Amino acid sequence: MCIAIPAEVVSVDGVSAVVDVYGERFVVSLLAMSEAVEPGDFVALQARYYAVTKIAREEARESRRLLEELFPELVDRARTAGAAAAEAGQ
Amino acid sequence: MPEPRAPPQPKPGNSVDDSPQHAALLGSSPVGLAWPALEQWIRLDAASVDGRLVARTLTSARADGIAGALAGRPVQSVPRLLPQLFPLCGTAHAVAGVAAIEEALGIVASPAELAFRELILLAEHGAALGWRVLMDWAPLIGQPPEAHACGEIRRTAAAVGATASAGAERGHWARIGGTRRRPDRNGLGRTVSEIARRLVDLFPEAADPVLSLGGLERAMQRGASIPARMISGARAGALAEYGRHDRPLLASRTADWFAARLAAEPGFCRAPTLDGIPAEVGPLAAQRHPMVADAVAQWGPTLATRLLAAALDAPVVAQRLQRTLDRLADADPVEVDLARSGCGTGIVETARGPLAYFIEVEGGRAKMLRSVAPTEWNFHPDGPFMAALAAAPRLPDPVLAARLLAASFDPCVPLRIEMAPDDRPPPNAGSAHHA
Repeated sequence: MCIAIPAEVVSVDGVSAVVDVYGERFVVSLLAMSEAVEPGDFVALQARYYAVTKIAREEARESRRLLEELFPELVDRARTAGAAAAEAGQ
Repeated sequence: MPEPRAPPQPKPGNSVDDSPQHAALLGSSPVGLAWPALEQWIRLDAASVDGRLVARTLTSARADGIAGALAGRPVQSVPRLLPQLFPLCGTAHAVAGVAAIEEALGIVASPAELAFRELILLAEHGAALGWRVLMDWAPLIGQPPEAHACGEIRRTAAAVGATASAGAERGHWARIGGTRRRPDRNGLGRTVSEIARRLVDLFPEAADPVLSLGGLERAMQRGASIPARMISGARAGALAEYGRHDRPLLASRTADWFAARLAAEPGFCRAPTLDGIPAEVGPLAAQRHPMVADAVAQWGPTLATRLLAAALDAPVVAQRLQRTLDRLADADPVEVDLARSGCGTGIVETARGPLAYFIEVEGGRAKMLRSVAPTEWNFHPDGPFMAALAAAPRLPDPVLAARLLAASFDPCVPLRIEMAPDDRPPPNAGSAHHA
């Protein structure tokens, strides 16, 4: 089973977007999305490169709270990676 | 109850995956395309020995015990939380979870509610088929992923759920006992017809329902669709005998069968077996299309047969969507007593195979919750994927063959193949040294 951490859309450029997961930022394709997104929205990612499902903001925040509760080490790792990326200027 | 386990961090290595084809869609980017810290994957460590791929270990970096971590929560919150944890296949998790809870509480949802759940499960199944063919298979025959076409199928699948839910409140499809529902049947008819057409178009060579296996094979040899090219390629040369293994096929099992194992064996969730032997699940085992049995008989349980079984799910799901639509009616909730206690099991058939949930409810809370998903069967460390690799004939490109094999077993996370170099000396190294 594949858990999916909601990624926050930072910017949209045509059919791609930059998303943020605890400070880690990635470019993802929006081609497989079933609905339009804008900055501030949350999406689920599949196969690393694709945003596939829009998640209501309150549900996304609840999901993150749940995952932070269940997997604190995982979330800490993501935050560490995000901080390192920010320091490297990404 | 095992604690949820976070996945280990990916390690750099000689990794083989489909990244170049997918990354190419995004062009140059100012931000990272590396493996995210939260990415989940299955890793095959293998070596190239004398021109063969020798599989060493298969490890899963997927978090486990997730569903179990919901134990202790109010039972009515469980079906709502499951799709938040698993949004990529959220319908299957929610429907399996709610079915387990209803059985535990002695609730029988209305036939109309069950038809609704079946319809949205089939829509999610259709979306997964689109991903399988257009996104996973396309790079394996050297063409770019067809993300836009995949998105069209996903949008249509989402529209099926939205149209079928007319008049229902938010979060309705995960409500214990069902809810009041007044679907727009005309609008739903159009949406179901559209997704059915898109699914049939995935594998147009198989659209003729009276086609024989021989006729289909000839049509695939002339065909241009992704499945036709994949399957025809897998029927050629040494690949035609590739993909066989000696593990059993897990045909459909009852809720009682899953309940006995999920309740008694905590390890069953992560490494399920059929009475001690890892087994194959999925389209080849389920044989949802009659031609799959013909292919097993004539081609054997090979890579090509497994790919064919997966591709034939497209016309099967298209037909089932239409049939389920005929059973859809106005639905109303049944009475629910959340204070009851009991155990229940819910099983749904997904694109990859059975997803089963077992729950024990006590005092309005989920006392124990366990689940097992298809990837745990096929990618068991000693399961059918590894057994098929071990039985592989000599192949011109064993790494590509392993990727094809993995695609035929369809893991729900990316498979990374880490190749170690051949550590044996070349055949003439000794004589060269002594020369």
